[in-house]
Amino acid sequence: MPSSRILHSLRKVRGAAAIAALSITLFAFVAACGGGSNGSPTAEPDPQADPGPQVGVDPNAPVVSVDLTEWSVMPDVSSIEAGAVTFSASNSGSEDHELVILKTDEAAGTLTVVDGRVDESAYDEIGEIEEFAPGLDQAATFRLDPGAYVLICNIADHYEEGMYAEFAVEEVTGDLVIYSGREEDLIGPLIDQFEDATGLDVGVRYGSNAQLIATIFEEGGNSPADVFFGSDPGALGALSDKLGVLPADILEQVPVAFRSPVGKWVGVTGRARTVIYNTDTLTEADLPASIFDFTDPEWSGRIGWAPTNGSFQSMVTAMRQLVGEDETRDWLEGIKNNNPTEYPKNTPIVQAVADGEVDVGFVNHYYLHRFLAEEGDSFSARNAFMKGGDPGAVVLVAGAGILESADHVRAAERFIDFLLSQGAQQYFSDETFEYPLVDGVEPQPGLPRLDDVEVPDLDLSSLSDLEGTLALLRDVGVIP
Amino acid sequence: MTDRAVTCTKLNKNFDGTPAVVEFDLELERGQLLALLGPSGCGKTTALRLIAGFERPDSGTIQIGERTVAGPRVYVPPEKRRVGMVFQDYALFPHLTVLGNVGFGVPRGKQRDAQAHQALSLVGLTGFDARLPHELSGGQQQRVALARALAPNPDVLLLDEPFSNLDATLRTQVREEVKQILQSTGTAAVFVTHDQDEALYMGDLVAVMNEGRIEQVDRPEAIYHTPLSRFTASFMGDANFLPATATEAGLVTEIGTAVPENEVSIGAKGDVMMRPDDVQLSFSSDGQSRVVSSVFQGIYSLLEIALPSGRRIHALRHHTASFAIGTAVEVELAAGHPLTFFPESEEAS
Amino acid sequence: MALEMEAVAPAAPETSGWARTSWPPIFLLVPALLVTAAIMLPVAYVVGRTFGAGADAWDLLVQRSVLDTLIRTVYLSLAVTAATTLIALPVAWLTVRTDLPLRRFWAVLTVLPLVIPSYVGALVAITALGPKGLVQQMLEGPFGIDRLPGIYGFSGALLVLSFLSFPYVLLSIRAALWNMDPAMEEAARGLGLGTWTTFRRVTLPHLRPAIAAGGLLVALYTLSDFGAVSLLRFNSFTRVIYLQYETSFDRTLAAASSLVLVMVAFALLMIEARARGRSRYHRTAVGSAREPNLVRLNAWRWPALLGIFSVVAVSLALPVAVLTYWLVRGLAAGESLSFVWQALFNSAYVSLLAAVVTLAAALPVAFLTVRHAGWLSSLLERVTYVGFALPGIVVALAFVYFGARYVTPLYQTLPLLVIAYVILFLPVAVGTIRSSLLQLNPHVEEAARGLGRSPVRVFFTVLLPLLRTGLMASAVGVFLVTMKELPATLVLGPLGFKTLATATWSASSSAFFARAAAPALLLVLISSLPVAFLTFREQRPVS
Repeated sequence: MPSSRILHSLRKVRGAAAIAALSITLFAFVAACGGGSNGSPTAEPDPQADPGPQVGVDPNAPVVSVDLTEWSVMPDVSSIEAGAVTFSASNSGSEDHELVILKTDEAAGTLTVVDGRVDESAYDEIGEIEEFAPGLDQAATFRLDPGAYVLICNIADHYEEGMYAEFAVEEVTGDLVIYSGREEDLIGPLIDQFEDATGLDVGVRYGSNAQLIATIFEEGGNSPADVFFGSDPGALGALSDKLGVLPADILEQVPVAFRSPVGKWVGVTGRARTVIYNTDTLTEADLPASIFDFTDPEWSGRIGWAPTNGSFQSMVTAMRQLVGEDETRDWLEGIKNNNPTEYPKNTPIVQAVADGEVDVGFVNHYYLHRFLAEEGDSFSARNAFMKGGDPGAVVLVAGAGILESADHVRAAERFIDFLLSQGAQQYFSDETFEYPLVDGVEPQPGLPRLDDVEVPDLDLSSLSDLEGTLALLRDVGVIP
Repeated sequence: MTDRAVTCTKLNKNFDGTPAVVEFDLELERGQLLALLGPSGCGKTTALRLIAGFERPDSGTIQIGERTVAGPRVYVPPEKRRVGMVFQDYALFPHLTVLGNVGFGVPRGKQRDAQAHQALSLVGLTGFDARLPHELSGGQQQRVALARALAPNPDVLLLDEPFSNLDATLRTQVREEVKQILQSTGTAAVFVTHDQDEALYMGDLVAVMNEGRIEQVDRPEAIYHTPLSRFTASFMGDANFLPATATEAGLVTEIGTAVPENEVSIGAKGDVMMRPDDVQLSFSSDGQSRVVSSVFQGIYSLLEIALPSGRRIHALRHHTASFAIGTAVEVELAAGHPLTFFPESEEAS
Repeated sequence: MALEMEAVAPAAPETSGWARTSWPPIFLLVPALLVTAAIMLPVAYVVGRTFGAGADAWDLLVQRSVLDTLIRTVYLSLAVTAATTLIALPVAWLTVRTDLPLRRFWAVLTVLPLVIPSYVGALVAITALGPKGLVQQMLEGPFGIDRLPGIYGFSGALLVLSFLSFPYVLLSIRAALWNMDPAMEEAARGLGLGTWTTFRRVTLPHLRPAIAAGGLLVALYTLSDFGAVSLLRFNSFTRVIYLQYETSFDRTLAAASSLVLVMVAFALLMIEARARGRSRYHRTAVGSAREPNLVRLNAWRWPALLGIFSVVAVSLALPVAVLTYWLVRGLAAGESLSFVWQALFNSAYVSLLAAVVTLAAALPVAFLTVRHAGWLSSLLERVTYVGFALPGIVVALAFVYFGARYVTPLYQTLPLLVIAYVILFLPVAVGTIRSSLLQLNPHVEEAARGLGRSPVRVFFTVLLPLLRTGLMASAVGVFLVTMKELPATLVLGPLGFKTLATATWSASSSAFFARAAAPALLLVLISSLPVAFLTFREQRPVS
């Protein structure tokens, strides 16, 4: 079976060169006439080509043509940069052949053979194009890490007849440009690590989500940005038209709930909405279980909120999905009637709650922990998580996507892959107190586990309807 | 090669539609010093600035020596005209020493300091090299300005009210010095003033300007005694205009008959112009005229006399003869030289 | 004099025959037009975006709430202008014309609030004066005061913006006081006017153009400020523009709102032009002006010291104290300081570059308006102020738009960033150079021309030396405001280009106050050096 690293052909067709390459690889009948004048190609695998199960072609991936014949395996290049690679195999011999990709440092001709076939279980098998008939072409895309590979045909005796070739995958080199809506204090050290690990030259532009998104839009097709790293699903959604589809092997590292359903962006860290309260005047027991209860007049003049803040707005969007437009409007009006104090964003709410300026505030969970780290445990505010799948406890994400206009797609993919690595996830967990989103990394002690937070059952993709939320907020009169 | 230093022909200059200089003609020869005289606002400074090149004429031509510096499709910028200018406020460079100021217009080179020193000694400021302008007195600043303008040996020197910021005593003294300096260098010069005495004293020629036009250009004596216009006549000093009729015997007025200076047609009516010193006064108990006022002016007193016709004229008397107000006097015309006749509603021909 | 940032005289045509040729020379006109064209880029961008928006933007713009916001904003703008004048007038008078002890020391300190970014100022104000803030904590114990007047809203915005921007007016008035002929005041005294009446009837009218020019900068600055109003929750027009970007990522609506701001700015410019009057300010008398006698304060010295101390305490000492408190607290909590030398170098370097280029751009504009007065040069001069009224983000995005499309190789490089700074801060330089030029006797230039020097050589041998003090003052002014600039730096800087301002912003926005404090303090410290240098060599200009 091909490994899970096989890519699905999700990406949109991009450059003309890719289209040309694709038209050669996808259609068997095209191969016969040399691939000169075919019509508009699609990313769909051709049904006549009898594709193997799970094998897909990423139209954006560079193509390595491999000639299979008796008895040789002949790739047209001997090396390529790491990342997604499409192998386009042509059977120009007279027998059926297949193409198996093994990652190994051993010499191509000295692999362990059992019963006339290479023992695939002894090697790291990256994937294969299953056997197909003479005269046909077959293509599939695989994600290849840097290292030495051997390409073989593993039909009995074919290897020993000489059907093997060495193939090298090299480190991605060059530049990478990141537009980061997340602060340099957080991201800087990670970038340094990434540069050290990859040798890539990374440039980062920091700014607010909105600033950077407006910049990307104004740059038109000339944006130097490869990656956008935003701190809010609303921001990622706003940029979604400018983003390309991410490779499946990146997307699949994160639970479905925390990534773009169309594959435009992937969540990197989770951030829970909470209610922060002043510990001098309140205990957690004084707080209601649902954010809806804050419309009660007893909270009049005691609430701090930031209706212009992206996370807040995403929470409202979530609320609209969960309880509908009318109830959301009722809630907004109810809170508004309680004369909440308005803040520009989360940080000042946390400060204000600790100062007793207001008793409670609607915030993201992790700001509190930064204050605790700087001011110590005497800081008089704590978080409370709303219960029972309440929209007040929705978990949002900070995430990243690759621009469609990116010049350095391979490097960009590596970067996002890096953000989802155990090390980076641990870093986020340790430094920002956010929730890691990949398996194997735990949130900070003191934070309730994501499983214990009664997170509402919600598809983050539904949070892309920012326009509707803004219209509602304007209508209710909480934003200008 | 003529000796012409400056020639202006039919210069016109408007500012936002207001004429400042109108049909301005001027000729000046080498070594001559011309005083451009007129009331304030008459356009004399503008005329000077046109010659210097700080303004461009709307029409007309300006030649310095043989060279046309302004005219149709010709405009030579000030720095290429070889004119020196002394400003009313001197406009010394406050950041440069006296020597720096004076040497400013001399081309860089060995000659610079020598020429600057020469100009400084000319104005009697040897030894002031290192002073800064604000460390000098007004008279000294004025002389530095003059030396600065002279140092590059300009073809023409232009002076804009150069003495107006000096006190009376200093003014007389500096005026004399400047006249001598200019005579010694033989530089043609135009200087603007609104002070008649200064114009008469300094100028080889005096040009009287009024409302943008030149009324008359002549030697100082001629300007004073035989003005061509009533304006010039009254601007150059106290002028009495008395109605007169031209007859064979001369110009007959109510106080006597005068010889006409200009040509008159017999029978013409008009005014004859006489200066206060052309009028003779004598005590006479049956005199028909009365002293109306008397202004003490030092050596002379200026008397205002009401004539039998009711007209008033000014007469000058030595201060030793005192006339009380109301004294009856006899008035007689005793010019001792021909007088200018202005026919009715026309200027002198 | 030190920072002489303002114009003190008219752009109106002069009526007597001073240097004036009928049409400006090409070598001035072309650069001035180029500069103006660059300034019009953001306006063109805003207009383009607005028309791109179509009817929707129009509908949103003509809402009642938009008008309310506009009125509120203009009201704040005028209030801040009035307040800054009230602060700046006595401070200027005390530091220029009296024997106040440590005059120059106070002169330096009262200019420095200019370098405190408004979001830092607001954050500090909230920390210090907010409910449960530091000041209240101090008062709570001994005095039992548990509620201070609210810092949020109009009053807070007024307080913070006034104390941050009064140096604009102060510098302008100081310059005018320095250049005022003491004979005018003496004449008034001779005519029997008392000290106060003299001030009111002679000194104040003389200062009017300076107050108008400084006030204009303050008013425009208030219009375009985002940092303070957002933290202090005052819903100004610029905040609405930012929110439009921030909440809906909507460029067209924000642009349409900016267009409204441009119109308000033009209205303010017209008001200021009227307030300037038509008088002329260079000395026409001969001889150099005397140093004015310093007014002896005698017993008034103590209240005067107390007053100026209070101004410095609120506008400078308080922010520095709060920043220091954060720093110390953070260090005590084991926060490590990553040193910001690179940011320090970048800040100083790019600000210096911006100062020099802005001077070069401002010179032809100032020259045109002073020496070739007319409708065209007046228009050019007025237009230079537009950049100052636009929110930084709008100017930055205009540059993104044009830069990424038409000068791609320059996009996100230092040169383009510096050009953006020039457009943002040109009025700071133009005003100062204008006022210096106005005090120069134009006959001095003519004398040099008459002595055979070409205009270009006259410029280098006569004007530059004479304008040196004014040029340096305007360079320092631009340097200071560039040091704290944020939105254009973030959007247009080369990748990875860190300045003290971005470092402060970055840390404070992620609530690492201790880390924010270090670069902010450095910002104040570094900026004080050129201010001190200029103030201590302050002297009456010779001319």
